[in-house]
Amino acid sequence: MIMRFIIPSLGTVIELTWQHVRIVTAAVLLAVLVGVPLGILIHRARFLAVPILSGAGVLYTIPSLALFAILIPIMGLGMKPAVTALVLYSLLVIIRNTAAGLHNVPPEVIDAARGMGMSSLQQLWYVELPLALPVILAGIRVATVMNVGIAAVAVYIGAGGLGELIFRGLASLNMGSLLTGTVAVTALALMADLGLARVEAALRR
Amino acid sequence: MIEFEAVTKVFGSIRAVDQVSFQVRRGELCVLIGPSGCGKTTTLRMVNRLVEPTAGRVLVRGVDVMRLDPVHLRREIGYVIQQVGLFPHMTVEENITVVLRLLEWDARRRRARAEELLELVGLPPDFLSRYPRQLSGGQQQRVGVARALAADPDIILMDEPFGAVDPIIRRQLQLELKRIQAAVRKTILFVTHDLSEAFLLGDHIVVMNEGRIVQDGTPQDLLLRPANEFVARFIAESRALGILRVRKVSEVMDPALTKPSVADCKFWVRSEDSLFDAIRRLGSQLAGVLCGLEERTVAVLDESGSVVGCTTFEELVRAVSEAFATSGVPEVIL
Repeated sequence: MIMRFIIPSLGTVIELTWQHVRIVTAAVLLAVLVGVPLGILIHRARFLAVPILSGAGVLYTIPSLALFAILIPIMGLGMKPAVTALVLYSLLVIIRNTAAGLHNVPPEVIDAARGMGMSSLQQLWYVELPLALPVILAGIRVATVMNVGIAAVAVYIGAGGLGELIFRGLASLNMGSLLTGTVAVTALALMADLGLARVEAALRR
Repeated sequence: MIEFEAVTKVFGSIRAVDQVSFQVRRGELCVLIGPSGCGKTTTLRMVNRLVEPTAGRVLVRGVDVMRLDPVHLRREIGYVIQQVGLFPHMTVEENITVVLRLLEWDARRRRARAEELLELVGLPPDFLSRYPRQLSGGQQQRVGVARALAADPDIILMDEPFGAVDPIIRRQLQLELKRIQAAVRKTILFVTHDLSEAFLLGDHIVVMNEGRIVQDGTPQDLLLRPANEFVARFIAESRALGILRVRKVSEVMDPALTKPSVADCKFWVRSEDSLFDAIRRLGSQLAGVLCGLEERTVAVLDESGSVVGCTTFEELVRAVSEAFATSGVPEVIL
């Protein structure tokens, strides 16, 4: 077996990176839209915490290839099942961090908010969510970094993205492609991590 | 203004508040006092429906609170708690004006009101843009008081508001509350376990123990006519009362030109008595005597039993309150 070393063109790398970013961003946004309300729900209705968190926990433990395989008969190939899978993976950490963030709001602050006549929604919007935001964002950050990695596998169901470079590299024994893909995925994950860490720090002040 | 009618609150198997009835009149500062766990905080929280009574009625401005929308009820009642509970992500100005924002005041009016309130509670205007964590405990509670006053509610609930600040600052805040109260005349229900605070601030003191009211009266009543052993002990055990052991009757009496004869006065104390002994002596003289405590003349006798001056119950009680107010920090001295 002879390993080749052909580095893919910059244009290809940029295009695939853009695809990758799109998949991850879409997945994280959707996961936030679903996960944050669920986190609020289990914070307010504690009895739902165990079923919802265990459900999300089970999803989290399914190996990514298996999850993709399960989704193909339902959603076919392409970006849709990939994004869906990433959303399902992200739910646990986002729900859990949302609930944890809300749980950490000091009780006297809640008492003051209630005592001065904020409705339940006003408490949530003006007091609880702003104070829980750093913890929620930490969850989003973990989910994003994780998704950058998992999205690389999504190439198996035709979602595109940087996984393509790795996949092609493996298939054609091209070390150049394989390494470029790996480095790009890693760099993307690091950038997402650092960028979101900055936002988080700014919020914590 | 606030009326409790046979109010009971049961948590699980615990009767936190048991058949409590009392009222707070308009413009009055009523202190709810008692040992921890006596139900005083629960009682206070039933006024703005943070806790709902199991039985009985709480009337605010004549209306049963259970018939009012809790959110609206609370916006018309100021609320100050021991832990302050300022919103850490908001500036002092935003904190003070939270309720005004809920009430949809415009920004300029809110700003003006915040400035006015900051001045009232004795903080400089540049504090408006600070965050709570940049303030000391005492300053935070001043902001807490300003926040409660923001919408100019006629009723204010204060739950051990000065309990978490150090004794010197606490005394200062108490005196400022007295000053503010003299200026704004709110109806205030004030919870504390500190007797000197109760005497200093209260127009009217309700003593609670184990969920029940054990005495409801003026500071005079409490000092001179404790309703039972519990109240007497509660007062005697208050370390703050020690200050009364060092002030003498001779310091507060009026060396009257026309000295009353002992026969005219049913009550007498010795000029060398400490305020504490004088109160005990009068308490025993009062036992069994039915009379109002207002403006009763008390003869002051010297060693030999001759009259050297006179005073009144009111004067003595005022001296007690003043002793607390000017003593700085009784808890530390003793």
